[in-house]
Amino acid sequence: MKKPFEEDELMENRLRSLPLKPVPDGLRERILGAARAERSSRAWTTPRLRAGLAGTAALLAAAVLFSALSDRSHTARLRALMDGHRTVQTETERAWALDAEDLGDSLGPAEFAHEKRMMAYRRTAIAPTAVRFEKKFNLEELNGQGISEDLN
Amino acid sequence: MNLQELYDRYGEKMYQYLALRLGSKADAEDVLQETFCRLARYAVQWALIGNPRAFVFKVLRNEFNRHLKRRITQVRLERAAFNEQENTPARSSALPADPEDAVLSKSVEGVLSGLPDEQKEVVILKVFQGFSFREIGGICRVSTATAASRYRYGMDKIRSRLEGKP
Repeated sequence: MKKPFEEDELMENRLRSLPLKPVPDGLRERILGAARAERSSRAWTTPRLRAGLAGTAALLAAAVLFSALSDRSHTARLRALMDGHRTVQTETERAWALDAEDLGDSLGPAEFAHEKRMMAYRRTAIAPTAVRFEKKFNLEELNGQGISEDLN
Repeated sequence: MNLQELYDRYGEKMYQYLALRLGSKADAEDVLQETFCRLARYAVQWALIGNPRAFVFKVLRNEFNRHLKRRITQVRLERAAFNEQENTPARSSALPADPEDAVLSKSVEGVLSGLPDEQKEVVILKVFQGFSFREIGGICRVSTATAASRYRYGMDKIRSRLEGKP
Protein backbone atom coordinates (compact mmCIF):
# COMPACT_ATOMS: atom_id res chain seq x y z
CA MET A 1 0.00 0.00 0.00
CA LYS A 2 1.28 3.44 -0.95
CA LYS A 3 1.91 6.07 1.77
CA PRO A 4 -0.04 9.34 1.52
CA PHE A 5 2.99 11.46 0.58
CA GLU A 6 3.91 8.93 -2.18
CA GLU A 7 0.39 9.23 -3.52
CA ASP A 8 0.71 13.00 -3.43
CA GLU A 9 3.99 12.85 -5.29
CA LEU A 10 2.47 10.67 -7.99
CA MET A 11 -0.50 12.98 -8.28
CA GLU A 12 1.79 16.02 -8.45
CA ASN A 13 3.76 14.41 -11.28
CA ARG A 14 0.55 13.60 -13.07
CA LEU A 15 -0.64 17.18 -12.75
CA ARG A 16 2.70 18.54 -13.96
CA SER A 17 2.48 16.34 -17.05
CA LEU A 18 -0.78 18.03 -18.11
CA PRO A 19 -0.38 20.85 -20.67
CA LEU A 20 -0.19 24.41 -19.41
CA LYS A 21 -1.07 27.52 -21.35
CA PRO A 22 1.93 28.64 -23.38
CA VAL A 23 3.33 32.11 -22.71
CA PRO A 24 2.24 34.38 -25.58
CA ASP A 25 4.87 35.70 -27.98
CA GLY A 26 6.04 39.21 -27.30
CA LEU A 27 4.70 39.20 -23.74
CA ARG A 28 8.16 39.89 -22.30
CA GLU A 29 8.66 43.02 -24.41
CA ARG A 30 5.15 44.27 -23.68
CA ILE A 31 5.48 43.79 -19.93
CA LEU A 32 8.96 45.28 -19.71
CA GLY A 33 8.02 48.21 -21.95
CA ALA A 34 5.02 49.04 -19.76
CA ALA A 35 7.10 48.73 -16.59
CA ARG A 36 9.82 51.02 -17.99
CA ALA A 37 7.22 53.57 -19.08
CA GLU A 38 5.69 53.47 -15.61
CA ARG A 39 9.06 54.01 -13.98
CA SER A 40 9.98 56.94 -16.22
CA SER A 41 6.57 58.59 -15.81
CA ARG A 42 6.82 58.32 -12.02
CA ALA A 43 10.36 59.63 -11.82
CA TRP A 44 10.31 63.12 -10.26
CA THR A 45 12.98 64.40 -12.67
CA THR A 46 14.02 63.64 -16.20
CA PRO A 47 17.62 62.48 -16.80
CA ARG A 48 18.48 65.86 -18.40
CA LEU A 49 17.12 67.79 -15.42
CA ARG A 50 19.02 65.52 -13.03
CA ALA A 51 22.25 66.22 -14.93
CA GLY A 52 21.51 69.96 -14.80
CA LEU A 53 20.87 69.84 -11.06
CA ALA A 54 24.07 67.91 -10.46
CA GLY A 55 26.05 70.41 -12.57
CA THR A 56 24.59 73.40 -10.69
CA ALA A 57 25.34 71.81 -7.34
CA ALA A 58 28.94 71.14 -8.42
CA LEU A 59 29.36 74.76 -9.61
CA LEU A 60 27.99 76.13 -6.33
CA ALA A 61 30.29 73.90 -4.31
CA ALA A 62 33.27 75.03 -6.42
CA ALA A 63 32.32 78.72 -5.94
CA VAL A 64 32.02 78.33 -2.16
CA LEU A 65 35.33 76.49 -2.00
CA PHE A 66 37.07 79.08 -4.18
CA SER A 67 35.70 81.92 -2.05
CA ALA A 68 36.86 80.26 1.18
CA LEU A 69 40.34 79.62 -0.22
CA SER A 70 40.58 83.16 -1.58
CA ASP A 71 39.56 84.67 1.80
CA ARG A 72 42.07 82.55 3.57
CA SER A 73 44.93 83.53 1.28
CA HIS A 74 43.92 87.21 1.49
CA THR A 75 43.90 87.12 5.30
CA ALA A 76 47.28 85.40 5.31
CA ARG A 77 48.71 88.06 2.99
CA LEU A 78 47.39 90.89 5.18
CA ARG A 79 48.71 89.25 8.32
CA ALA A 80 52.11 88.95 6.69
CA LEU A 81 51.97 92.65 5.74
CA MET A 82 51.01 93.73 9.26
CA ASP A 83 53.73 91.60 10.77
CA GLY A 84 51.33 89.48 12.75
CA HIS A 85 49.30 92.38 14.26
CA ARG A 86 45.62 92.58 14.06
CA THR A 87 44.26 94.86 11.36
CA VAL A 88 40.67 95.05 12.52
CA GLN A 89 39.85 97.46 15.35
CA THR A 90 36.90 97.22 17.72
CA GLU A 91 34.57 100.18 18.17
CA THR A 92 36.24 101.16 21.45
CA GLU A 93 39.71 100.95 19.94
CA ARG A 94 38.62 103.12 17.05
CA ALA A 95 37.09 105.70 19.43
CA TRP A 96 40.23 105.73 21.52
CA ALA A 97 42.34 106.28 18.44
CA LEU A 98 40.19 109.29 17.42
CA ASP A 99 40.28 110.74 20.94
CA ALA A 100 44.02 110.31 21.05
CA GLU A 101 44.29 112.24 17.79
CA ASP A 102 42.18 115.05 19.35
CA LEU A 103 44.36 115.18 22.43
CA GLY A 104 47.39 115.51 20.24
CA ASP A 105 50.84 115.38 21.61
CA SER A 106 50.14 117.81 24.41
CA LEU A 107 50.09 115.16 27.13
CA GLY A 108 52.93 113.08 28.43
CA PRO A 109 52.77 109.25 28.26
CA ALA A 110 51.58 108.83 31.88
CA GLU A 111 48.91 111.54 31.56
CA PHE A 112 47.81 110.15 28.23
CA ALA A 113 47.41 106.66 29.70
CA HIS A 114 45.39 108.09 32.60
CA GLU A 115 43.25 110.06 30.20
CA LYS A 116 42.60 106.91 28.12
CA ARG A 117 41.46 105.01 31.20
CA MET A 118 39.10 107.84 32.16
CA MET A 119 37.65 107.93 28.66
CA ALA A 120 37.04 104.22 28.71
CA TYR A 121 35.35 104.45 32.11
CA ARG A 122 33.10 107.28 30.97
CA ARG A 123 32.11 105.36 27.90
CA THR A 124 31.04 102.32 29.88
CA ALA A 125 29.66 103.96 33.01
CA ILE A 126 27.99 107.09 31.78
CA ALA A 127 26.09 105.72 28.85
CA PRO A 128 23.60 103.59 30.88
CA THR A 129 22.89 106.54 33.18
CA ALA A 130 22.10 108.68 30.18
CA VAL A 131 19.74 106.05 28.87
CA ARG A 132 17.99 105.80 32.23
CA PHE A 133 17.66 109.59 32.34
CA GLU A 134 16.18 109.72 28.88
CA LYS A 135 13.71 107.01 29.73
CA LYS A 136 12.70 108.60 33.02
CA PHE A 137 11.85 111.96 31.49
CA ASN A 138 10.65 110.54 28.23
CA LEU A 139 13.03 112.78 26.34
CA GLU A 140 12.94 110.78 23.14
CA GLU A 141 9.23 111.39 22.83
CA LEU A 142 9.54 115.05 23.69
CA ASN A 143 12.33 115.48 21.19
CA GLY A 144 10.13 113.92 18.56
CA GLN A 145 7.45 116.56 19.18
CA GLY A 146 9.93 119.35 18.62
CA ILE A 147 9.28 121.17 21.94
CA SER A 148 11.14 124.38 22.28
CA GLU A 149 13.93 124.57 24.81
CA ASP A 150 12.57 127.89 25.95
CA LEU A 151 10.00 126.75 28.47
CA ASN A 152 9.14 130.23 29.62
CA MET B 1 18.02 42.87 -9.82
CA ASN B 2 16.57 44.92 -12.68
CA LEU B 3 13.28 44.40 -14.45
CA GLN B 4 14.70 42.20 -17.22
CA GLU B 5 16.33 39.86 -14.72
CA LEU B 6 13.15 39.79 -12.72
CA TYR B 7 11.10 38.81 -15.75
CA ASP B 8 13.64 36.23 -16.91
CA ARG B 9 13.65 34.58 -13.49
CA TYR B 10 9.99 34.67 -12.54
CA GLY B 11 7.97 36.11 -15.45
CA GLU B 12 6.81 32.87 -17.02
CA LYS B 13 6.05 31.22 -13.68
CA MET B 14 4.03 34.25 -12.69
CA TYR B 15 2.11 34.10 -15.95
CA GLN B 16 1.35 30.40 -15.43
CA TYR B 17 0.12 31.06 -11.90
CA LEU B 18 -2.21 33.79 -13.15
CA ALA B 19 -3.40 31.80 -16.14
CA LEU B 20 -4.28 28.88 -13.87
CA ARG B 21 -6.06 31.03 -11.33
CA LEU B 22 -7.88 33.35 -13.70
CA GLY B 23 -8.46 30.96 -16.60
CA SER B 24 -8.17 33.87 -19.02
CA LYS B 25 -5.12 34.72 -21.09
CA ALA B 26 -5.95 38.41 -21.44
CA ASP B 27 -6.62 38.87 -17.71
CA ALA B 28 -3.41 37.03 -16.84
CA GLU B 29 -1.42 39.36 -19.11
CA ASP B 30 -3.10 42.43 -17.61
CA VAL B 31 -2.43 41.39 -14.03
CA LEU B 32 1.17 40.45 -14.84
CA GLN B 33 1.70 43.86 -16.43
CA GLU B 34 0.17 45.62 -13.43
CA THR B 35 2.45 43.65 -11.12
CA PHE B 36 5.58 44.61 -13.03
CA CYS B 37 4.46 48.24 -13.14
CA ARG B 38 3.99 48.15 -9.38
CA LEU B 39 7.43 46.62 -8.87
CA ALA B 40 8.94 49.26 -11.18
CA ARG B 41 7.12 52.09 -9.41
CA TYR B 42 8.49 51.32 -5.97
CA ALA B 43 12.10 50.58 -7.03
CA VAL B 44 12.45 47.61 -4.68
CA GLN B 45 15.74 47.19 -2.77
CA TRP B 46 16.25 43.53 -3.66
CA ALA B 47 19.34 43.18 -1.48
CA LEU B 48 17.15 43.65 1.59
CA ILE B 49 14.69 40.92 0.63
CA GLY B 50 15.50 37.46 1.94
CA ASN B 51 13.31 35.43 -0.41
CA PRO B 52 12.73 37.40 -3.64
CA ARG B 53 10.63 34.67 -5.27
CA ALA B 54 8.15 34.53 -2.36
CA PHE B 55 8.10 38.34 -2.25
CA VAL B 56 7.33 38.59 -5.97
CA PHE B 57 4.51 36.07 -5.64
CA LYS B 58 3.10 37.97 -2.68
CA VAL B 59 3.01 41.15 -4.76
CA LEU B 60 1.48 39.15 -7.61
CA ARG B 61 -1.20 37.73 -5.34
CA ASN B 62 -2.09 41.19 -4.06
CA GLU B 63 -2.41 42.44 -7.62
CA PHE B 64 -4.53 39.41 -8.48
CA ASN B 65 -6.88 40.19 -5.56
CA ARG B 66 -7.12 43.84 -6.67
CA HIS B 67 -7.99 42.68 -10.18
CA LEU B 68 -10.69 40.36 -8.84
CA LYS B 69 -12.23 43.16 -6.77
CA ARG B 70 -12.28 45.44 -9.81
CA ARG B 71 -13.89 42.71 -11.92
CA ILE B 72 -16.53 41.96 -9.30
CA THR B 73 -17.45 45.65 -9.02
CA GLN B 74 -17.55 45.95 -12.80
CA VAL B 75 -19.77 42.88 -13.16
CA ARG B 76 -22.13 44.14 -10.45
CA LEU B 77 -22.44 47.51 -12.15
CA GLU B 78 -23.02 45.89 -15.52
CA ARG B 79 -25.67 43.63 -14.05
CA ALA B 80 -27.41 46.52 -12.34
CA ALA B 81 -27.39 48.57 -15.57
CA PHE B 82 -28.64 45.59 -17.57
CA ASN B 83 -31.45 44.88 -15.08
CA GLU B 84 -32.54 48.51 -15.12
CA GLN B 85 -32.64 48.62 -18.91
CA GLU B 86 -34.23 45.29 -19.66
CA ASN B 87 -36.07 44.70 -16.39
CA THR B 88 -35.14 41.04 -16.66
CA PRO B 89 -33.55 38.75 -14.06
CA ALA B 90 -29.77 38.83 -13.86
CA ARG B 91 -27.79 36.30 -15.82
CA SER B 92 -25.99 33.57 -13.94
CA SER B 93 -22.59 34.94 -14.92
CA ALA B 94 -21.72 38.22 -16.61
CA LEU B 95 -18.09 37.23 -17.10
CA PRO B 96 -17.35 36.72 -20.80
CA ALA B 97 -16.76 33.12 -21.75
CA ASP B 98 -13.21 32.37 -22.84
CA PRO B 99 -13.24 30.70 -26.31
CA GLU B 100 -10.46 28.42 -25.11
CA ASP B 101 -12.55 27.01 -22.26
CA ALA B 102 -13.58 23.92 -24.22
CA VAL B 103 -9.95 23.08 -24.93
CA LEU B 104 -8.90 23.81 -21.37
CA SER B 105 -11.30 21.33 -19.84
CA LYS B 106 -8.82 18.60 -20.75
CA SER B 107 -5.91 20.46 -19.20
CA VAL B 108 -4.76 21.58 -15.75
CA GLU B 109 -7.38 24.31 -15.63
CA GLY B 110 -10.06 21.69 -16.18
CA VAL B 111 -8.73 19.50 -13.38
CA LEU B 112 -8.43 22.42 -10.96
CA SER B 113 -11.71 24.06 -11.92
CA GLY B 114 -13.86 22.33 -9.31
CA LEU B 115 -11.64 23.20 -6.36
CA PRO B 116 -12.45 25.99 -3.90
CA ASP B 117 -10.26 28.98 -4.63
CA GLU B 118 -8.07 28.77 -1.53
CA GLN B 119 -7.31 25.08 -2.16
CA LYS B 120 -6.68 25.73 -5.83
CA GLU B 121 -4.21 28.48 -4.97
CA VAL B 122 -2.23 26.30 -2.57
CA VAL B 123 -2.11 23.42 -5.05
CA ILE B 124 -0.87 25.73 -7.81
CA LEU B 125 1.81 27.24 -5.60
CA LYS B 126 2.95 23.83 -4.35
CA VAL B 127 2.77 21.75 -7.51
CA PHE B 128 3.57 24.23 -10.27
CA GLN B 129 5.68 26.80 -8.45
CA GLY B 130 7.49 24.49 -6.03
CA PHE B 131 6.95 26.55 -2.88
CA SER B 132 7.17 24.99 0.57
CA PHE B 133 4.15 25.08 2.87
CA ARG B 134 5.92 27.68 4.97
CA GLU B 135 6.44 29.94 1.96
CA ILE B 136 2.85 29.37 0.84
CA GLY B 137 1.67 30.34 4.31
CA GLY B 138 3.66 33.57 4.01
CA ILE B 139 2.34 34.35 0.55
CA CYS B 140 -1.31 33.60 1.40
CA ARG B 141 -1.07 35.06 4.93
CA VAL B 142 -2.15 31.82 6.62
CA SER B 143 -0.33 29.43 8.97
CA THR B 144 1.85 26.64 7.61
CA ALA B 145 -0.62 24.05 8.97
CA THR B 146 -3.53 25.76 7.20
CA ALA B 147 -1.60 25.79 3.94
CA ALA B 148 -0.80 22.08 4.35
CA SER B 149 -4.39 21.14 5.13
CA ARG B 150 -5.71 23.13 2.16
CA TYR B 151 -3.25 21.28 -0.03
CA ARG B 152 -4.34 17.93 1.42
CA TYR B 153 -8.05 18.60 0.81
CA GLY B 154 -7.33 19.89 -2.67
CA MET B 155 -5.22 16.91 -3.63
CA ASP B 156 -7.87 14.51 -2.32
CA LYS B 157 -10.48 16.16 -4.51
CA ILE B 158 -8.22 16.08 -7.57
CA ARG B 159 -7.38 12.45 -6.95
CA SER B 160 -11.00 11.42 -6.67
CA ARG B 161 -11.81 13.40 -9.81
CA LEU B 162 -9.00 11.89 -11.88
CA GLU B 163 -9.66 8.39 -10.62
CA GLY B 164 -13.38 8.77 -11.20
CA LYS B 165 -14.34 8.35 -7.51
CA PRO B 166 -17.43 10.21 -6.21
